[in-house]
Amino acid sequence: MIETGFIRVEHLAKTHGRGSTLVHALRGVSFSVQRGERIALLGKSGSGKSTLLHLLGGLDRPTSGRIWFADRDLAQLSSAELARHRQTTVGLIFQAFYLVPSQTALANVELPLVFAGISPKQRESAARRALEAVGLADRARHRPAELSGGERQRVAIARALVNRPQVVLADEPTGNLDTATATTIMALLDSYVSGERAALCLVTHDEELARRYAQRILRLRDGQLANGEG
Amino acid sequence: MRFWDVLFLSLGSWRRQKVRFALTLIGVILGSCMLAVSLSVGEGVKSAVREQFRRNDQLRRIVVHPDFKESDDETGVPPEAIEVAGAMNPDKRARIRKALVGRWREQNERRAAIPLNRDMLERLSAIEHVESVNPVLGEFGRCVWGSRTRDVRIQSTDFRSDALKKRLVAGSMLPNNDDKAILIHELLLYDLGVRDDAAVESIIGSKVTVEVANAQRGMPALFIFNIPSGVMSVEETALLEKATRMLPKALDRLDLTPQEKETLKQLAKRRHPAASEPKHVTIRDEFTVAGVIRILDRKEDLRWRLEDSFPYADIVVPANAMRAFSDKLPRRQEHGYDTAILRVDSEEYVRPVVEQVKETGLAHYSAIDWVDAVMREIRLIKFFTGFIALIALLVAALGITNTMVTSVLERIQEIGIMKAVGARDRHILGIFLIEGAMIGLLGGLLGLLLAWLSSIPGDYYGRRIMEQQMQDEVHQSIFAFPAWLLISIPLFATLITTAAALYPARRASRIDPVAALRHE
Repeated sequence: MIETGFIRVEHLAKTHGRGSTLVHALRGVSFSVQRGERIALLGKSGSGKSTLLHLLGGLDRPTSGRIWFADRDLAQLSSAELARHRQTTVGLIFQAFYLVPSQTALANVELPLVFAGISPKQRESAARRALEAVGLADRARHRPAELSGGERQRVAIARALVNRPQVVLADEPTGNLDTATATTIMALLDSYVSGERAALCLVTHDEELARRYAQRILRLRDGQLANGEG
Repeated sequence: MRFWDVLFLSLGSWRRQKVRFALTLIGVILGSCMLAVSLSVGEGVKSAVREQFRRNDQLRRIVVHPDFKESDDETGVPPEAIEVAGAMNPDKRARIRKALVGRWREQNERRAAIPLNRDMLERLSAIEHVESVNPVLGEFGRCVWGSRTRDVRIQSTDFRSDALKKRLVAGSMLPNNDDKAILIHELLLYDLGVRDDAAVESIIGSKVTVEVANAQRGMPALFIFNIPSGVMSVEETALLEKATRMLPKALDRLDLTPQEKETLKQLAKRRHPAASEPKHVTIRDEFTVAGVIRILDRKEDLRWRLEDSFPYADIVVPANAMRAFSDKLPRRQEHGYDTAILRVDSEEYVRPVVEQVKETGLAHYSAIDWVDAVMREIRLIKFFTGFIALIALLVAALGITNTMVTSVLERIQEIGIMKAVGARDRHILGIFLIEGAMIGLLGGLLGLLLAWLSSIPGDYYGRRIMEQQMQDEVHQSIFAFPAWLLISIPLFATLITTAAALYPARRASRIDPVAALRHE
């Protein structure tokens, strides 16, 4: 029986390619996440954890199965509705930061608000608050190339949180950072999800990190949850 | 998403790739400039030609002539004159017979199939929107001033003629079309011995006798004595005519062989029975000199020919006065006039009036026909130059497609990031379409500006060429930038470049965000 929760994943499967190149990235994954809950998706490289995160973020569509966010099934949403899901419901953080190199830190943080049609004044104010929250108020006019790795990730976190999402999806957010910086980054995320009662899905292969920040660990192996977890 | 944000994101790639953007833009600027110049010159030349003819009311005039078209009708032609001898095929026989009919009529009749006589003038006057109908009368005659005479060319004119006003050097213009006043040419005055400026001034108001013969007389005698034209007195001419008429009867007294005398007698009999003896009538009247007109310079020559006055007239007489004078000639009563000018009350009615003139069967000419033909040529030239400009613009558009496809490939990860933070497909589509549109808009506006700048020297050289061809000053610019052109060039360039951006924009909008984020 499937548990009820803010996020409900039911029999999720995702395959890539076809014929001889067919890859089963996920095979019937089911779990749920409560509002304010912090979970870690732990697994080795190729286990399907990033794929799962992309599906939760609405960046990709499942081959089969359902993903419920409250009462909305992502599999049934149109392309525009999925974009709105990425814009308002989730905040995505990546290991590679994915900042627009030609734009300043402030402009990068403003980007989600631009697509939401927020006025320049309002979004600048919101972006400045977000940068201040991650301790980068004085770096607003700097471009990514002028920032350190930790600073870039903090800009990426500010961008992910500027819309105040209900779910934070973080894919190896500390993977490219030293321990001290990683601690700062995780503290920032922890502070946000605690303050906003948001759910956190942390994708990592670092068991120590998972134990420290997640209330529940889901282990993925070959596209399946290990030992009936979920 | 707000429009200005789309615009800002669109222009982002311009900032990053300045040289590529500049080269792309130059292509659009040149294409737009070519198109603008082509359309502008087409409009400008059309307008300048119309204006050139509109001055002096050229576009309101219709010139009509009697119809001398060849007729195949053999009625009245002596059968022996058109009998075709020899063995030949029927087609050739028919062609030769037709040509013989034409030749006989030309040699013996010179009568118009549709004459331009008084009845015809009345018919023309009755056409709706015809303001006036004036026959253009030109006569060769003689001017008698005191004891001096001179052969002259006499021409009728409308007293309002601007062209004549410009040539007036002494006295005043003709007061109206009815007075027996004349303008006299300064060379004629010189020939008559009126040479000093003071003498020229003093001749204003004097009476001059003008005479015109119904038929040319005394010509054989002129050849026999090899006398230059225009230097004989009235008495000398009468004497020559008398001698000419006596010549056939005096053949026996000449030192000729009997055979030569017989040949000359036979020649005298050869006169065609249909040819009638012209009536030897000379009409004369007194006119008052109102003003003196100067000699035309060479530049004015062609333009003058477009007016209704004979450019080389020695004496110019007001239209109605000339008509009253000339109508006394038997040949005028019999054959009518050579030319008449209809003035239509408004340009817009010229075409319908021309249609009604056609129905009379008269030969006619209107400057509007010529202008229409010129307009057709200009349209054709405009079409071809516009076509070439369009090709240039399309080539520039292909360049834009190519540039933007490259730009999409370079910005794949950026597109992925935008999608990851909430950009919809149509946002991405909009960003690239606006980028294409902005290149078109900016290129179109700058192309228009370049066209306007090039029109400054272009107008100078173009007008000189046009003036050489028209033999007249061209007052209007041959470049025109009407409002529709100012709007349509940037608009058209924008449409073309937006269409060029459609493929790369669609490609960008369909990019899979996951694949795009992984793209290096």
